[in-house]
Amino acid sequence: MMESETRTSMIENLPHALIHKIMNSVPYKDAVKFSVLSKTLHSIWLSFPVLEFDYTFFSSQPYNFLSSILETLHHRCPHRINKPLQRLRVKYPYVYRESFAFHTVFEFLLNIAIRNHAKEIIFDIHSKTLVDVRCDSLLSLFSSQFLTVLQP
Amino acid sequence: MSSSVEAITVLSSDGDEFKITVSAAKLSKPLNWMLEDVCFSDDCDEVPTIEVNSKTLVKVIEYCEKHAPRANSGASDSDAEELKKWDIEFMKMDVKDILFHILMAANYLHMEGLYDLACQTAADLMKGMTVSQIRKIFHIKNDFSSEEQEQLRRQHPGCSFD
Repeated sequence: MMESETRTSMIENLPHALIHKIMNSVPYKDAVKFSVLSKTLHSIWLSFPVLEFDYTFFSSQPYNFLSSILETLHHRCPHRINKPLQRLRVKYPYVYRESFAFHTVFEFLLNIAIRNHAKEIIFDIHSKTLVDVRCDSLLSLFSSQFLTVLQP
Repeated sequence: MSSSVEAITVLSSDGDEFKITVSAAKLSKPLNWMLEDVCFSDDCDEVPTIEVNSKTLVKVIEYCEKHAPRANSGASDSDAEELKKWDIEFMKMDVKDILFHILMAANYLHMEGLYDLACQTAADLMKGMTVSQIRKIFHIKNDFSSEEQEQLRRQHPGCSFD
């Protein structure tokens, strides 16, 4: 193989923290693009300490939203074990549809955020009924030493 | 260290000499430590090397000299506004040639202001662009097979990559 073919681009040689900062400086839907640019950038994407799930991308296909959450956690959580999460954001700007078990999913995500010592947890949820979060998750949430921002 | 010194000489990684004023050098933590540790008086032969190439170091020093007065004294809002405009002009540079070198240098020299500015510039370049446009801008080679690519896209069904 020619040398020019094996050389990686300058951006791929930057420290991971620096690329994570660039990812964090663009909207999440643009940051996702890092995952398909190249193999090097894909592996750096996997350790990006921000998770965002935006239902507005999926409004016509609620099941895709759930499967996307599971896919993301399946691919990215193994790379994140024992590393604090900077931010978890969930956007669901609609009233619940009873047919989908969203509250279970949100509670599950909340627990993931707490276990990963998330600094920011943002639940952007419009709902007539309050999110039914079990008491023990709330307790650990409020006793978290790592949390700096919480937007219910 | 002699307190009367107003400017110091440093070497780039290419071996070229550059002068930087003491107040500008203070924007960088490692340079500041060097100022405290190393003798910079005229009778001292030692010229410290900064592991940044000449082309990049010129830009870094230009940034430091521009920002030093404000960093050292604090500035009015109109100054801050002017500095913002200057930053935008300063960051109009070729990505492959220099932007990422500036990022590396700002990281290495612990210059928070320049680091944030360069990161934001890189981020602004890719905002709203398609995957192939981003590859072109940052000179990234696609090393995925089309099957792999398709599989990755399926992991983010809600996102448009085009």
